[in-house]
Amino acid sequence: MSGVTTFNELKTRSNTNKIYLAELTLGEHLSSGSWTKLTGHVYSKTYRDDTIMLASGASVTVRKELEKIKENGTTIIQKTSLALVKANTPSFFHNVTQSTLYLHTSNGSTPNQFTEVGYFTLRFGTEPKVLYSGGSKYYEPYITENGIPRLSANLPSIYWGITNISAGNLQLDNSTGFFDQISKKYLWIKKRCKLLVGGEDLPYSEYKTMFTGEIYDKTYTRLTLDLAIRSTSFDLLRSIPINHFWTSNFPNMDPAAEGKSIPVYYGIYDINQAPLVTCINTSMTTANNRRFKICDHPVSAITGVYLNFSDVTGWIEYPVDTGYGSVDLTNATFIVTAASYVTGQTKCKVAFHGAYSTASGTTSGAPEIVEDILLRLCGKIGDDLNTVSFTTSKTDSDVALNVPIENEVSALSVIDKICKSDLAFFDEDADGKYRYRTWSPLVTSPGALPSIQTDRDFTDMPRMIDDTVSLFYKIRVRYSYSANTKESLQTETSDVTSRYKYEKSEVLDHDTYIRGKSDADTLAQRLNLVLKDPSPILTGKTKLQLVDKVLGDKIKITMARSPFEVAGGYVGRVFEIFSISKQFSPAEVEIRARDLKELGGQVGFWTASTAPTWANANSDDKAISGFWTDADGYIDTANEDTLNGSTWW
Amino acid sequence: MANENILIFYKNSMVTATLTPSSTTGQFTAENLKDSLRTKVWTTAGGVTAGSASLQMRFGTTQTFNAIILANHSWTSVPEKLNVVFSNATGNWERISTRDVTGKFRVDLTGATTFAPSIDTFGNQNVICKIFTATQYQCAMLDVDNTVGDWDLGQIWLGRYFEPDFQALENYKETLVDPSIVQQTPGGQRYADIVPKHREVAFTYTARTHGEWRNIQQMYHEVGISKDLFISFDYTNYASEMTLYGKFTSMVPMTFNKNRVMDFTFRESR
Repeated sequence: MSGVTTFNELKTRSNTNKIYLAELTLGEHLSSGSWTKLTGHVYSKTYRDDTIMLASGASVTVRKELEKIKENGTTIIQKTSLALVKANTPSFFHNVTQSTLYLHTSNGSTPNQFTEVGYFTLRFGTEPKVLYSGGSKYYEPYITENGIPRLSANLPSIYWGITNISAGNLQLDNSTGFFDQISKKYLWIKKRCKLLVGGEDLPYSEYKTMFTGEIYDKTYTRLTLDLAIRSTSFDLLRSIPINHFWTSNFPNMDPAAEGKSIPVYYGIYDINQAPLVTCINTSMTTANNRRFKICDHPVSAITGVYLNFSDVTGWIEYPVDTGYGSVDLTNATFIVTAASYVTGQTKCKVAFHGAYSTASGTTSGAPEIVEDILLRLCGKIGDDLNTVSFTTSKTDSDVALNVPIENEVSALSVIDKICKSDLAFFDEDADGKYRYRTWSPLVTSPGALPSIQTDRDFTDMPRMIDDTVSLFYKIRVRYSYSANTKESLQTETSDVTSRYKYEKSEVLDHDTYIRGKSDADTLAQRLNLVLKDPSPILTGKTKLQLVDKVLGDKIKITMARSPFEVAGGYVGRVFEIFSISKQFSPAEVEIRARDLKELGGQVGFWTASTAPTWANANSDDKAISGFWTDADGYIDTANEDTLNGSTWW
Repeated sequence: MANENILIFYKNSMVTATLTPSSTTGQFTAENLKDSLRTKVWTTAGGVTAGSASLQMRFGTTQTFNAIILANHSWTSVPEKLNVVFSNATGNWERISTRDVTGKFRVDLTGATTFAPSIDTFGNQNVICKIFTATQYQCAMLDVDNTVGDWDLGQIWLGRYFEPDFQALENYKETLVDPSIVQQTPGGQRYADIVPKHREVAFTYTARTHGEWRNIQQMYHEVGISKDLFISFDYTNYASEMTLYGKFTSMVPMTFNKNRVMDFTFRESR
């Protein structure tokens, strides 16, 4: 007994026994075999642990306790008694003591009419361990010496974008033949894999989840079972929009639209941004009437309809038919009456307000749009999202977007461009939940940040690299995308001082979903602020001190040299992690972090009533508060160190 | 070290037995006793005052026994009663108090030479072993009266051992291995990922008689490098510290040479 019972102690002590756990939630097809019909539309069957034969001839038991059943892909409710299963449709109860499964299907008929898949968790460790989590659970010591994969996450761009999360192979020891039978008997592909780290005398609640993803491949040999695991973000490579125009659904539609995607539109589209719409009924009862469909979801308003008969006449505004049933906001359709309309030649575009929520109106904010894409278009549920990150970003984000999804693209590529428009990051947390983080350079509580001393905590020499790849003197931001001309407007900001100092003339072209010029100008100025000077990047390795960190976390770095006073270095300087890689034999965490360039410290709160004066400010106040400056850029004219010590964001 | 009284336990009738425990806790059923992982335990149930428990084992056919080993138990002191009763009467398991009642045979383990009440300084995992004159039965029952509540047991071996006629081991070398990984920072701070230690034993064995040669061959044929076995390297003098559970780490050429000399390496299992 070491007395180490908290994760914080485990990661900060110099000598600790680390234990890694893998929890695999596997499936088993339950529909086959005989079921006994009971009263109340409940069916039962014997469902017991599996006894398997090892290579040595010994038999061992595989524990199975059903946690979830999916019926034709839909999760059904777990209950704790037969009576509750009778009363709830659909539901199930696994009586482990009696090795009996009770199942009430969604229509009360036999489970063999459905594909019923039961889910249970197998637990493995790098060492044998009994931990209490809803009952004592034994972690079988089948993870091989180097069996925990290196986990890494990094950002292709250090200021925005989708995180690349990679995971390798979880390797389990099969020298005893433990996996010979169960590798075939159970369903492994696309099933959940969760990796945790702990050790010493930690209770289960103190073990930290490092990664939650899915198994996508398995390789089985006489010696090992290798499970290839990856992030659940791969699910988001699915194409959106989901639905298409078919004549089977819209018999009289424009024949040229057959098979086209039914678009999805977020934001507010004016006359210039208005998209072309599809005629879904060219043969209405009333002469010269035609019905058009804008998109695949309800819209909150239609503000203008325009027809173009030829390049000579150009766009002409037409009144929307206001008769009963003409405008259908729920189905996003409207009727236009135009005698000169020729199907296949005349174009129609519409200004409107796109997808909306009853609570907050038209969905225009970047985090709100990403959330809607995940929940409505990608089939995710609220529990799949890291709600704290979305809630925080809804406050931090200040851009209004128009996101037209007209042709099939992957959901990830749309989210990537939204991140680009908002200076935001999209990734997964350790529990596999999707995170959206609008970037903020503010450091609100520097005193509370973890402090790393490179000499003491880094297992090798830290490296400091000036990143000149992300050095641009001019920023061009494209905005106000026109969904009918497929072109955008453009704004630019530059800093000639940067160009002369570094003699680099690269210009960043930044394509966005931003709707208006004001937001585009703000983004261009922010990009100019962070990209006009090289960004110092710190690379180094620690033991487990940083194992629970994720991208975007800030740390304070002290990198002293001796004699410190003349040799320079950093003391408690704030860095932000943008790349992290964790390996476990030996336990080591490699980070890459960018210097916030004191930007966080310089961002001002001039309008805050609590902002102190420079003279009265303590060191924390000076780090987090902005201060009025004189015309020469000094906060305190008597102190040259205060030059340009205050920054707009 | 004299290496007197080397006992090798490798035949365990438990692995195919049908088990009926008097109680069990959660997933820690008596079937865990068949698993070669000694940390995968059977846990009794009954609460603080119910330390008494039994385990019936039916082997199906008549088996020969001359040794019992219990390992990875959680008893902190010798239980008041710790018996294994052998019988051919499958349904009559009354607790007998005297040795050799008609049709039954009781082995009292409370005085076992190697009783270790807790993990000792040598890392032994609570091994109890007892040898006795060979006997044949179809059933057995572990019968325990303990006063400290529910308890665990990781291994129970009922089977046979053999004791080489000539006991001397040459070149006996026991090594404590620490696989922990130690790293040092530029500032001189040392960190360690601690990994549990284990022992490795190397020894040279000389079979002086043909009978002994056959015993070794049979044992080696049975376990190879894949099966765990118990070896008491000095049952008489250092039973507690020198009884190890583990595997041979490499196969030895079984050459029938003039001297029948074999070099073994053995590694403790976790």
